Amino acid sequence: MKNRTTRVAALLLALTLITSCFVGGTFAKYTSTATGSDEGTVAKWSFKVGETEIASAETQTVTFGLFDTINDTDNTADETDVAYGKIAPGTCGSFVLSVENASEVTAKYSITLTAANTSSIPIQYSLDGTTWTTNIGDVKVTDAQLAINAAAATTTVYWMWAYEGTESSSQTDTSDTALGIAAQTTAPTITVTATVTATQID
Amino acid sequence: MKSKTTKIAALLLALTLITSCFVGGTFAKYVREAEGHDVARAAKWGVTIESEGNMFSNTYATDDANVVGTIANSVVSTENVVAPGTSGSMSRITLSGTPEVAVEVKYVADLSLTNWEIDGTFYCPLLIVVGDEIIIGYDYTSAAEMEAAVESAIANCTALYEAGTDLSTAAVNIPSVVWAWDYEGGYDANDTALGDQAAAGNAATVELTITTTVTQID
Repeated sequence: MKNRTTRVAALLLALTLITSCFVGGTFAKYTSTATGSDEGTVAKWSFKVGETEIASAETQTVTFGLFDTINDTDNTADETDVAYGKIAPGTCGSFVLSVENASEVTAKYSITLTAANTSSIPIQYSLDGTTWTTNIGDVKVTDAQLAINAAAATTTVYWMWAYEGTESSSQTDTSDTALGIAAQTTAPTITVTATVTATQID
Repeated sequence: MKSKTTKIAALLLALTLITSCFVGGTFAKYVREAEGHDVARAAKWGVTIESEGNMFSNTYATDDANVVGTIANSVVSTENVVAPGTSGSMSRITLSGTPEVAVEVKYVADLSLTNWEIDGTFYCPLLIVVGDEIIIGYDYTSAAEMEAAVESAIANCTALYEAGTDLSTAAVNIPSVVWAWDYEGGYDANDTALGDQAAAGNAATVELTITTTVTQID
């Protein structure tokens, strides 16, 4: 009997010691903790041509009303000697392209022009109204920078069908007249397309 | 009578013996004295952890050499943002102290990638480097997989150190976390789509939390 009591006591003592180890390991030790956290959000990409947000889709169509305004040779007064909406020798005009970087990243933009002009209407182009070219590919803006929150940038594209044809060696009264005669049946047309490409700057 | 005499004699003997003890203790003895003495103090801890979130920024300097002269910052926002061409690192986990106990330095990471989807497909152009381990977003098909990869890489920096280790030294493994969004990653359309989503108020976000715990080892 005595021997059994001794064994039970020894067992209880052992259990107590073991339990103490676990409790000690859980509640009694040195410990220090610190937490660091940081969050980043994708920067906004937003680029407008005129009032159109071109960033919202891979390809966007914007208004480019190059021939909306048709002026007399001096480009100040409306052309009154030509039917409304038609171009002819001695007419000219311009259109202002406005671009705005509304992004949270710096951007650069390029403007290129192309023309569908199967009848070779002798239109000349310029970006300053002074220097003219018949090669529309030369009329372009390349990698112009626009900082974040910068004011909208404008580019004016000028066109002209010269009355005297001095700027274009291929333009003659005869060729101009031929275009006008052709318009009696199927009028020659010219379609100018402006492509604006905006790219984030690293 | 004899008995009474005997009793008195015994009493006197006893008193004599008792007295002898005291006297002997005072004047005639060998003396050896030993004292056991020990002092213990608590082992030093003194561990401090500094952890700051500084991975992301609201401004990133322009890298393009042709532009930096005119536009200093290529990314500016009112909040911390990421964009193609940006990168950063988390370098502010700092441990110090030389505890007199062995310790475990444990790192638990929680990476949250939200809205990194284009037309329902996971797309995350972020590259996250943890130590020598590179986690490339293009390689993952879900946010959960990429999150788990980064969290695991950071957790692997957990290590045990002997008592007396100076935790501020390079011998202590602190997870180095670097991220980047490649400017020329080759997926301009997808990158642009993420930027458009941000403009539409549905921005993708990345959030990393690292909890550092130093615990005494028993």
